[in-house]
Amino acid sequence: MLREFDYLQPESVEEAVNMRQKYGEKSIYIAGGTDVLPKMRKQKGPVPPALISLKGLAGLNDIREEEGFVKIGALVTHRELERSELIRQTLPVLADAVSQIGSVQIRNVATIGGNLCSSLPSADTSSPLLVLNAAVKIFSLSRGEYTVDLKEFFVSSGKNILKANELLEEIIIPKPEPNSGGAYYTISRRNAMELPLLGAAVYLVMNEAVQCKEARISLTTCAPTPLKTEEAATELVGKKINEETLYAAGERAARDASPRQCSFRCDSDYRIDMIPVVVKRAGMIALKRISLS
Amino acid sequence: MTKKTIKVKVNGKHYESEVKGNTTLLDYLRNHLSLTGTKEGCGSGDCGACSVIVEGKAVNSCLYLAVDADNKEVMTVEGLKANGELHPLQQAFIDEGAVQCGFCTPGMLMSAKALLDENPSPDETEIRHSMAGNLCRCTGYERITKAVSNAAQEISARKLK
Repeated sequence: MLREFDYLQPESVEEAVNMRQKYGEKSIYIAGGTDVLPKMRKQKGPVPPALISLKGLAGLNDIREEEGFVKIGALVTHRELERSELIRQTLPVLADAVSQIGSVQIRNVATIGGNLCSSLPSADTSSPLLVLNAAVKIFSLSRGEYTVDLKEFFVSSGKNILKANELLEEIIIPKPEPNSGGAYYTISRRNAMELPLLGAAVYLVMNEAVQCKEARISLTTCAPTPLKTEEAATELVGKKINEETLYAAGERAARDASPRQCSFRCDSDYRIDMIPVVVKRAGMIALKRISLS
Repeated sequence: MTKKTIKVKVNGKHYESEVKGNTTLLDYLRNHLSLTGTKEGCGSGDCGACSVIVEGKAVNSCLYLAVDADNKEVMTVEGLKANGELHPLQQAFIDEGAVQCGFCTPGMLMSAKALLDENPSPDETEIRHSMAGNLCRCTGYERITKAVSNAAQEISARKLK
């Protein structure tokens, strides 16, 4: 049984944000509901004054190409992304992430906006979007729409920069340049239905001499926020990309990681030890994708 | 808490009902419409026993609010049988011995139906990947996977006739 709550169904972003203003910060936005509704089964603490559904908001459901960018509405589901030819061909690092979230049933309703707004370090879409240099478009009741780099979005575990009168609308990703590609590789205890114990998104831009021109690395579940490691990525620039160079970059990345000491899913030592491995594996897949393109 | 009126088409039949905002689709199907084929296993989207098909997509009805099903088409396991005959999936589950306690079976059938509607000839890997959200404590999944595969072939064969 779910706790009793008022379920509001606004039809526009502005209406939704106004409702949250009216009902206060304790009211909760709900999109797919796969994070919010399980919490509504627990009986402890005060009931939120309202659940504000985002399902009816127009204009946030598209995946489209526009002026050199791929734009994804916050309400696009993981399943829509998984099955989108555009995403699979152009942004396979993101396809890697969404195709392993939960189950088909979860992915049919859970949204990319919800995944980012959960702002958990284990949010699978976060690292791929960080290595894609994604930005997010936010609607603010006080300042209108504005855009911010995704790396500024996450503050700490479960917290992001959204103010009480703001809503995430869209994710904006620059289209990949030639000779570039990425991959997302995770380790988990089960083959499905599990948050990653650890994940690495690696994005490489190569030059004609098959050397790395630019690299981006982001790690999932090894810090309070998804961790984009700039120094480790810089180490790959000018180098040939192979298992050794990727592993070494992973070892550098591990020095920036700060996984939870008391996680019951695995030891922090295990995560630290495995960071070079996931970076290496993700990087090799990225490299293969570039060579095939 | 105010109630809302919803109009839902379930297994081809139209229903108009008043529901509270916090009524799940699972609760609505079982307790308002007495369609008890859909089961509650965990109530948190982890087991898939409550899987139904909404607008062609498999969802966990324990995490889907009834008010969100307004103006939508829903299929439950009760909707598989047609003209008094079992659906090829149901027949395949029986023939293959893919049912033991039967509690996961409605969810399995719904997941499989959604899969075959999207991909009429999945291989074993695709079946297992698509149905990863449906847990079974009894069978070990072998017979279920085989049943889905057999049903896919049967459905294709019937279409060719």
